[in-house]
Amino acid sequence: MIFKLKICSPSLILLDMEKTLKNIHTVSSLTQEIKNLFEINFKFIKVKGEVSNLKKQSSGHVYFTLKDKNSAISVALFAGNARHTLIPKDGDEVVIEGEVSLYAPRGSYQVIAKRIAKTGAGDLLMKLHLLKEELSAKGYFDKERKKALPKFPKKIGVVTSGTGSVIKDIIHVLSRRYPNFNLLLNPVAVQGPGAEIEIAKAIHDFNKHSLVDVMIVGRGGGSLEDLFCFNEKIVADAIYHSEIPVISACGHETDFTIADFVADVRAPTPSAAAEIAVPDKQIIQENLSKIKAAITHGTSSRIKLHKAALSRIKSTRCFESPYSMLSIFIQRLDDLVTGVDQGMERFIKHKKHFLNEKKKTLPLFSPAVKIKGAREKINSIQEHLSSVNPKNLLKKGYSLLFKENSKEIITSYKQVKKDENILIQLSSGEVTAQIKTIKEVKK
Amino acid sequence: MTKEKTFEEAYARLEEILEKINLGEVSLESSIALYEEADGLINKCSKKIDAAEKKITTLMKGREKELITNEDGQPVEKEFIHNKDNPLE
Repeated sequence: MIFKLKICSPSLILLDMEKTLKNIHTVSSLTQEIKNLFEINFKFIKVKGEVSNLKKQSSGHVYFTLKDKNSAISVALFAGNARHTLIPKDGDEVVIEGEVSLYAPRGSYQVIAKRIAKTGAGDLLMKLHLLKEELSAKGYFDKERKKALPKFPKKIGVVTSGTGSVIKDIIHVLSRRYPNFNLLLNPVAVQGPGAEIEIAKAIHDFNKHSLVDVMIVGRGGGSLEDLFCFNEKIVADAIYHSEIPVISACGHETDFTIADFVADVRAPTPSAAAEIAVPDKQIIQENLSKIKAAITHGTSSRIKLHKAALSRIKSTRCFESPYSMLSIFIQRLDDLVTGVDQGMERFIKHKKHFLNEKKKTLPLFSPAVKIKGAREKINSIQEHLSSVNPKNLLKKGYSLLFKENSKEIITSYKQVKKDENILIQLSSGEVTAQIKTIKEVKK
Repeated sequence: MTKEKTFEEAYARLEEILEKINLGEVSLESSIALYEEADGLINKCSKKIDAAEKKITTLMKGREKELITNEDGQPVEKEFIHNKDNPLE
C-alpha cells in the first residue's frame, strides 16, 4: 500500500501566494526537503511487523509491505542487501534494520531494508554477543593456541549432514585435489533442536578414537537461526578442546559463527575447507619433480665445478711435466754428489800422501839414529872442549903466570913490580922467575 | 633403528637438503650423500602419495544417534554413498 503525501492543496497555495510569494515551494523542492527530513531522522531504524504482498523481481530486488494492526509501510530489499540476509515469506513476523527513504517520482516513502531477521532473532543476537564476549575473555579465540594443520593428512574427518550439498562439495573438491584421499564422515544434524549436541559429540568422538588427522566442521549458509547450533557453547567447547585441528566451514563468506572464531582455521565455505584440508596432489608431484631437478642440478653443477678445478690442477706444469720442474733439482743433486765424491777422493789422496811423507821421515826419528847423532855431537864438543883446555894450550907453548905468594893469576903488567918473584906454570912443571923490566906495550 | 619418516618430515627434509645444496655450504662428499638421500626421499614421497586408496566412509549410528562400535569398542565404518534420500538426515 502506498501512502501519498497531500500536505498542500492548490487552493491553499493560491491564498498564500498573494501574501508570501517568497515561501512558495515547487513540488520538487518540497519533496526534496521532506526527503532530507526523512533521511536525516530515520537513517538507522528498526521496525517490526508482519510481511505481506512479497514480490521478488527478476532483478533480484524484493518488495513487500510490512504491517501491524493499524498501519502499513512499503519495504524495499535491494538485491545487494538481499544476498546477505534472510528473505522472509508472507506472514513472517520480522524485524527490519534499515532507513526510511522517499521515492520522489511517486512521492511515496518506504523503508530500505538492510537486514531482516525473524522476530526473536534479537534475543539470539544478544545471546550470541554475550557468549562471544565470554569466550573471547577466556582465550578461546587466541591466535597462539591455534593448531597448525597437517600438510598431508592421511584421513580427513567431516562433521556435517550426511545429505545435502556440503558433503558433496567437499568430496568433489577433495577428488579434484587429492584423488586418493581418505574421508570419514560423522553424520550429524546441522540445524534444529539438539543439533549442537550431535555436533559436539561428533568432534569429541573423532578425538576419543583418534579417527582422523584433521576435521572439517560445518554446514551450508542459512539464517541466523539455521546457523545457531554453531553458535552454541557446547560446540565452541568441543572445538576448543579438540586435539585434532579443526577447520570450520559454516555457511558462506559473510556468516561468521562462534565455531568459526574458535576453530584453528576458518574456511569461508565447505569447498574452501576442502581446499585448505588437502594439498593439490598435482602440485606436490610437480614440486617433488622440481626439487629433484633442483637437487640434481645443484649436485651435478657442484661435481662439474670440482672436475673443472681438478683438471685445472692437473694441467698445471708440475703435474703435466714434472721433470721440467724437478730437473734443476735432480741435476743439482747429481752435481753435489759428484762434487762430494771428488772432494772426498782428493781429501783421501791428500791424506794418503801426507801419511806416506810422514812414513818416510819416521826412521829419522828412530832413537838409534838420534843417539848416534847425539854421540857425534858429544864427540865434536869433546874435541872442541879439549882444544880449548888451557892445559892443552900449555902443551902448545903457552904458559900461565901467578904471583908467587898469593898464587893470583897475572894478566896485566900492572900486577907486578920490578924484582918481584913470579911463578910460571908450563905444561909439565913450574918455574920461578924474577921481574927484570916492566914496559907497557901499546897495541 | 631410525623411524620411517612421515610424509611431512620427508618433505621438510627435502626442502632442507635443497637449501643446503643450493647454498653450497656442504662438502662434495656430503652433497653426494645428500643427493642420494634426497633421491630416496623423493621416491618414498611419490610412493606415499600414490599408496593411499581413495576411501569415503561414514560412521555408523544407532537410533539414539549413538556410535555403533565393534567388540573392541572401535566405531564401525561403512562405505559412504552420497544420496539425497539418505535416511540419516
